[in-house]
Amino acid sequence: MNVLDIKLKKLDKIYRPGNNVAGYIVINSKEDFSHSGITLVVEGSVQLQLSSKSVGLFEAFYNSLKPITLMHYTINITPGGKFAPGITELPFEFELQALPGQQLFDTYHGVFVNIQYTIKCDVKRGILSKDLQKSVEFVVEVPSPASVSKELTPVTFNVTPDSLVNFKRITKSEVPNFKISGSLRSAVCNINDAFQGYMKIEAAEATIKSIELQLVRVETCGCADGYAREVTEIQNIQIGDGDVCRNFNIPLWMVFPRLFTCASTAAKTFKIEFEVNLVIMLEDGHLITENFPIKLVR
Amino acid sequence: MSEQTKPAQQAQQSQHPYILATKKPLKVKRLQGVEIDRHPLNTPLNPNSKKEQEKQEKEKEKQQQQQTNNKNEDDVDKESVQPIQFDPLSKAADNKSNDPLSATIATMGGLNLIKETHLTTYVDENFMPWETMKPSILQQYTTDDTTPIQVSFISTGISGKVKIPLNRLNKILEELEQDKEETKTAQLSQPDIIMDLETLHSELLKAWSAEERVRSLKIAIQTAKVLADTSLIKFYPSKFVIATEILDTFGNMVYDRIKKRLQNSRDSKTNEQLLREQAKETCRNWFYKIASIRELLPRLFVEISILKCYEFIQGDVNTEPKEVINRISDMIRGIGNPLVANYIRAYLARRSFDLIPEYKKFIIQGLKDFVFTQKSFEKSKYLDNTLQIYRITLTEYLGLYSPSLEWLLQCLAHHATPEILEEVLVLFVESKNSLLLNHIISSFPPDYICTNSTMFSNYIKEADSFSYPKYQLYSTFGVNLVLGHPPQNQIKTILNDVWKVVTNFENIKDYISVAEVFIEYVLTHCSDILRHIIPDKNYENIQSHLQSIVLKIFTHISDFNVLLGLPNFLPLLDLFNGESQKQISRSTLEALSASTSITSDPILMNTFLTYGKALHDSLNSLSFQDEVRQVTQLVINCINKIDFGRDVEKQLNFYVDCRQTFINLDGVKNRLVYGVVSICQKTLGLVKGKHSAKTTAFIRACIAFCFITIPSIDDIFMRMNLYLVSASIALQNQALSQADALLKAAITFVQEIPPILEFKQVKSTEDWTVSYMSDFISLLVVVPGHPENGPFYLINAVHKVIKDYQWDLGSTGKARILIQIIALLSSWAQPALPYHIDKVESNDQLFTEDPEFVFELNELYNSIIKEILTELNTLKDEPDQSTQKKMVNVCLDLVNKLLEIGELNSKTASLIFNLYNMAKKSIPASSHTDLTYLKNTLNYISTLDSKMGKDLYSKLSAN
Repeated sequence: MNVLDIKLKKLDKIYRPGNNVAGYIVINSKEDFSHSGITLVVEGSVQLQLSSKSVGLFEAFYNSLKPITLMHYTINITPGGKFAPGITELPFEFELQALPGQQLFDTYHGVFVNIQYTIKCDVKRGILSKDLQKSVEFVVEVPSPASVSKELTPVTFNVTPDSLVNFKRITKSEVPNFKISGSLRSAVCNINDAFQGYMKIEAAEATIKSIELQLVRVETCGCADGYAREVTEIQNIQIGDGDVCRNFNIPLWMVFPRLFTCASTAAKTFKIEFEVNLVIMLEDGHLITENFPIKLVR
Repeated sequence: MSEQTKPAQQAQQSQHPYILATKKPLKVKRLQGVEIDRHPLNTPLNPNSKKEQEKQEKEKEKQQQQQTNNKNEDDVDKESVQPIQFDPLSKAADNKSNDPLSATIATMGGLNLIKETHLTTYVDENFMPWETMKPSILQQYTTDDTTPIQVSFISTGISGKVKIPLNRLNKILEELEQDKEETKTAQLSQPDIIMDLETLHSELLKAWSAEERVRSLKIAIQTAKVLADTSLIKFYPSKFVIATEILDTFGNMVYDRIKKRLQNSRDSKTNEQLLREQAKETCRNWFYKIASIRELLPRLFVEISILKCYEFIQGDVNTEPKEVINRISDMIRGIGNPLVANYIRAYLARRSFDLIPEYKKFIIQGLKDFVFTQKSFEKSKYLDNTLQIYRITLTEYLGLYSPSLEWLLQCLAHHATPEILEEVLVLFVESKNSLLLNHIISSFPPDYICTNSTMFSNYIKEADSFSYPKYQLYSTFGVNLVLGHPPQNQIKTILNDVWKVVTNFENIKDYISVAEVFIEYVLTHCSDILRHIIPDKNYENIQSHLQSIVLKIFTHISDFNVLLGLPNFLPLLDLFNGESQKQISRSTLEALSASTSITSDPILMNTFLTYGKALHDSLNSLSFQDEVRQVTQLVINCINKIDFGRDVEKQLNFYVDCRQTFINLDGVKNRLVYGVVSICQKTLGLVKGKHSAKTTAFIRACIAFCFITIPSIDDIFMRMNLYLVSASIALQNQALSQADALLKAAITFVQEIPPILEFKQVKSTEDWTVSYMSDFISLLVVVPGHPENGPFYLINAVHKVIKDYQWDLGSTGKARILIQIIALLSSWAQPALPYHIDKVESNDQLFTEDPEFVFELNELYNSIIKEILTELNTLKDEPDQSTQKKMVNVCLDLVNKLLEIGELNSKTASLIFNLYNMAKKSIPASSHTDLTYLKNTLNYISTLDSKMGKDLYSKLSAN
């Protein structure tokens, strides 16, 4: 039995543009292993998908939904030949570089947007035996450009019945009196850091059941002509449990989940953005929500 | 002496077939050295002969030497010259003295006395580890007081495997699978929760060993969720203990696994970097996983549980330990329930201790948060709601905070700088929360409290009265004062200060529990002013507290005399009644008997008699035998402490008082008789063997004391021994008529010796009786004959008693005693007795030359031999093997005795011949000892050089 494997030197498989990606193609065979050439294909692409509810709308700009290839390499590792039995390691190395006219983005797996980088290895084996194929994904992290301000500018907020805009099944007069204030350390967050800030229930007549932070991503596909905006929740964590003490600074703290976040990205045909909702759930089932658009940088 | 046969003397009286031989040349044996001590007349006072004691002491020395040998071989020589006295009692005494104090401390809410080693070097023995706190929390906080909380993975001192019913397990596991859903389960009972936690623990171990890390994490989350529920509020602290135990297990497993990986990386040089990265990555993964836990409480608990793992990923963003701890501490504010929040603070303090033990700032912050929430909580309506829902009082509710606060403050105060302590105090000053103050006092270093005692005393006054009872505060305060060293000039000020408040307490129970602690304070620091605070209220209902006060006094006062000198002490003791009086009497005696000094103080004696009497009167025929034994021993120990030295008369008076007091205790009376006997001997020693008229009278009095005391003892064996001992003492002190009376009394009581004794197992008393009678008869050797009733008066009486005694069937007792009697007769037949008592004329001086005496002697001799033969005849017909064996023994004994003491005439010879043959016939073939005895006897006969002896030998050997 022949086993084909690709091993990257870097354990976490995280690379930045300009980095050299190095690794081995490992062939483990008990017998002589003959082949007619091994090639390595490195590909980076953005795939956009349609949400079922917006299919109709998207047909208009179908073109923009084509996968965008960010990078593509074909490397010939070795021409046809024979390997002795046992483990054979074939080293490879390439520089991480976008195609001309393109730009590399963070690896990202969303619902409607996928940015993926793969290394695919093909072993051609003549007519008699089956060809072998193996692919691995590696992660690309793109540092945010220096132009993006990394300075921390605190964002303060105040939530009162008057500031509420969206009432469902309730009139404004029925809203119990409350006053919530707080501050974010910054709306621009480093993706490896946490979302930080504090809030304070200065007053609330109703009993609070829970206070939660909701991390939401906003994926936008399309171009200037028309676009589809999809909002999905990726994380919801509780920061206050029960009827928390009034006038007490409660920290806002949320670590960004690694798999579902990337630096806020804006390209010609798609955008990935994030928002945080501060949700105060009242005992009677009503919610008070405050929305904070945030920018993730690396 | 018996090796040599003596030339036969001419038979003086022909009508007697058997004649006692008189031995010449007669040697009067002078007892020397050790033999004097061993002599029955000298020794009965101390059952352990001196030699044996010496032996024991030597052995002890040896042991001691061996021990020291191991330590330092160089000192061996020194050691052997001056052996250290090894006192087995000292250990027990030490243990005892420790106990009462530590017990109070445990109930006090924990002063950090318990020694235990801890993982980190930062901690010293002043720190009470969590392990020690756990059991007391589990014990205290439960909804069901009757059954103790048992958890298999926490050693609570009660071992026990808990079985988990299967259906329960499945249910929990189901919940585990769908843990995102908020399943509203019906209210669980305490056993249910324990069972659940038990299940979670075993599942966690199972999942971990099966490498199911995600499942393990889920279980940990599930465990933490249990802590969100405060429905069984009284059980909450215990639940916290159990659940955090599981979380600890989880956290430690995670930590150990990563640690192990890092160690592996160090071992393999090639992949070092790779493996280290891998370990770090695992660690990061854990934290990312935990950061995404939806609910706040489980997220915090689980993160805290693996807090120590932060040390692996130092250098990453947001992993600076202090920042992490501060952040978590802040995030705890999000927990709405103040009780839950405070417990998670305690957990944070506990786990952060592993990461950075020196870091304390967050604890202060935590306490501030606690005070803040507590204040607003008190103001809000929720407090009342909570109390109503759980149906508990405010104090009870606040008491639930106690373990968490205790732990927090302990962590804080341990090795804390004065600045930190002051910061905490400021916190109190702001809040006036007395619960907080209590734990501040109990956890701060006693010396700190002592130096600032006035300030604390004021704080206590200021503290609010509802969150913690005032009297408890004072007790805690007092305990600290006892442990620390308040400045000399403040001692009285503090006391007066405290007492001013305390005397106003309405509730006598509150009052006394403070008094209980402060009495110790007084005893430790200012023993001269005990009288200031002996209170004068009505104590009927608070005996147990008073008792504890008295016990404390006993612990601290080593010299009983000092205590008795205090004018208020005895009145205090008088306050007790009933069961506690018994207890106190007992403790008093214990304290007395533990004191090292020997005294003759009349007050002390009086105290002893008073409380001894109380204790004595508390026993009755229904008391346990063991209790009686213990009390007896206690009283004896106390009696041993009282010695009047040369004033023997006072000593006797004291013994008379004791007899009157302890009339029902045989052991004590036994000791008293021995005591009197020993003062007789002391007197004898003081007058150097020559009694004056005065001392003679005193000796009479002593012997009279014995004579009337002995019959009051129930135990017949004790009584018999005492008769013999006092009779010999009487003889030695030339109180002849009294000796006679005592011996007579002893003889009359022989009848009362029960043939069998039933104690645990049925035992024949035959051997005892025989040996006792032998002793008795040997004393008779020197007892002079009765002036009116003749020399044979006593021995005849003995003879008669022996004859009439209810011997068991097949017993050889009678025959054996009779053989002893003929030995006595032989002694009497000699021209001079083997030994004498100084200044006592024995029968040799009185009667030997009297032909009537010799005749009577031989007559008795003959009649007894006949009696023995009849006895042997009866025994011979017994078919029983063992009886046969015994009979053979008696036969051979008699043969030997006859050879030794009798004149070997034809009659004796034929008697010996018959006896010998009878023995030879009846010997069981298997009995080697008897066969050897037989052979040796024959050998002895062969050495006889008289004609009769040779004839006898030839006849016997021919047979």
